[in-house]
This record gives sequence, C-alpha cells and structure tokens, in this order.
Amino acid sequence: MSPTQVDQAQAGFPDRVLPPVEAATLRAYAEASGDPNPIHLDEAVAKEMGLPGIIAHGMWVASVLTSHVQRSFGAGIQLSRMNYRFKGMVVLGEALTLTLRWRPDRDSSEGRAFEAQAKKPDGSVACIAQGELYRAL
Amino acid sequence: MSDLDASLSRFSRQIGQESSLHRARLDRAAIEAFGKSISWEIPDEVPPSFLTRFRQGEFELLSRLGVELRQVLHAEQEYRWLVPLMADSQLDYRARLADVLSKGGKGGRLTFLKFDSEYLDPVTTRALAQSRTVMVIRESADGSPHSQSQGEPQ
Repeated sequence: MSPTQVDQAQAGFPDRVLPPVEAATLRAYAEASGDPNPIHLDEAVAKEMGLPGIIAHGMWVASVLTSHVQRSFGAGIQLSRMNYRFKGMVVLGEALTLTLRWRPDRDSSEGRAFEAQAKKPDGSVACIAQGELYRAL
Repeated sequence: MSDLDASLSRFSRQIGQESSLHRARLDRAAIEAFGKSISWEIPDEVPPSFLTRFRQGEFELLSRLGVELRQVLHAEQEYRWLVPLMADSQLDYRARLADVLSKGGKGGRLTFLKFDSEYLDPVTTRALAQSRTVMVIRESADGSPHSQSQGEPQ
C-alpha cells in the first residue's frame, strides 16, 4: 500500500450510503450472476415463501460490500479471503450503509484482517464480512 | 419420525455427494454486467465475488436433494482466492455437500446445507479459488415456510 493509503487506513475508512434498493437492480444482478431464485424477483413468490416481499440476494449485498472494500483499499489490492454472514433481509426501498475498518486483532501471518458491514436504515446489520488482504501486496 | 426428521435424515445420507464437473469461462460481457449491478468501480479487475456466477454444482446438488431454489436463503458464504480472477480465462468446478445440520429457530426448524466448491485451472489443474456456501431451509412446525428472520448456522 502507498503511504497515503496507509494514512487513510489509520484514519478509518469513510462509510458509503447506497441508493435505495430497486427491483431493476436485482433483476440485472439476477441475470448477471445467474441466480434465478424467484424470491428476489417476484413479489407473489416471495410472499408465498413467507417473506415480507421481494428481498435482495444475499450475494448482491455481499457483492456491493466487496465493491466498497475494494474501492476503499484501491486498485491492485488482492483479497485472500472473505467470509460473509447474512444476518437480516434487505427489502426493496432500503438504503444500505457500508462500513469498513481494520481488525488488527485478527491479522494472520499471511494477511491483514478487516471487517465490513452492510447496515439497514434502522441500524441493524444485514451482512457482516470478515476478510483478509494478502500481506505482500 | 416427523417429516422434518425424515428430510433431515435423507439430506444427511447425501453428505459427501459431489456434483458433476462444470466448466465455465469468465466472459467479459458477463463481468461487465455483474460489475454494473454491484457498483464495481475498478474496470481492469474482475470483482472477486463474480465467483458466485459459478454455482451450477450447488444447484445440481440441491436439485438432487429435491430442494427448490425458492425454498432456500443464503446464510453464509466464504471465498478464498488463491490468484486474482482473470477475464477470458476458464475454470472447472464442482460442489460437494459438506455437511447438513438442523436447529430449532423462532417458530420453526432451520436446516442448514453446507456446500464446498473448488475452482481449478482446466489446463494446469492448479486451484484458483475455494468456496463454502451455507444455505438455510426455513420450515414451521407444519412444514410450511415461515416469515421469521434468517438464522445462523453457528
């Protein structure tokens, strides 16, 4: 990492607030990811399955979080591992806040550890991600 | 034995089952569409989570278990990337049902299906990445889906 990036890292990373989740975004994601699960596309199916309505794909939430991580660290940074736990459903119209911080307590010999979260408008966590960057980079 | 116990027992007997081998290409147009849908902003790099496009092995095993995709929610996902993903490259992958477990949740049973996948370079057979996917099936006591929030496997 460049000295500037290290300074930024020590100062913490700014949060990012996404626009409210739209059905069109989930349709585009479903097609691009090859995930045809109708609970993310069809209100009637989602309700039939006991959900409050269409919910965002867990991996869409994980992916926007990963985009936030990569954008915050900068191009050329190589992730070695990420673990995503899906804690709460994201419904249409909800705007996610994405956070990122270092977790030096979890550093390993191979990598630097970080934690990222996607939070719902009510402050609850939709997805928590623990990850590592390759130390050599 | 209840229907739920019967289905858990049926799933458990399948632990260790592997999908067939799937081959895929990291298509540039697909990467671009994927990137656009997830606010990806680094044009020269493939989003690491693009690996989620390669779930045919998991889908095949779910189908073999008689589970429809609409019945499951994603509970947890882990990726290990051994090398960066490269546009236009190919990969081979297969999924394995690694574990099945069940626990009581709010108002019903949660059944967790854990799948492990490995992604290999078809030419060198070198491992490129690994993943673990945990899917959850939520059922109320009468076997119907219920509306409580997702549980966690641990």
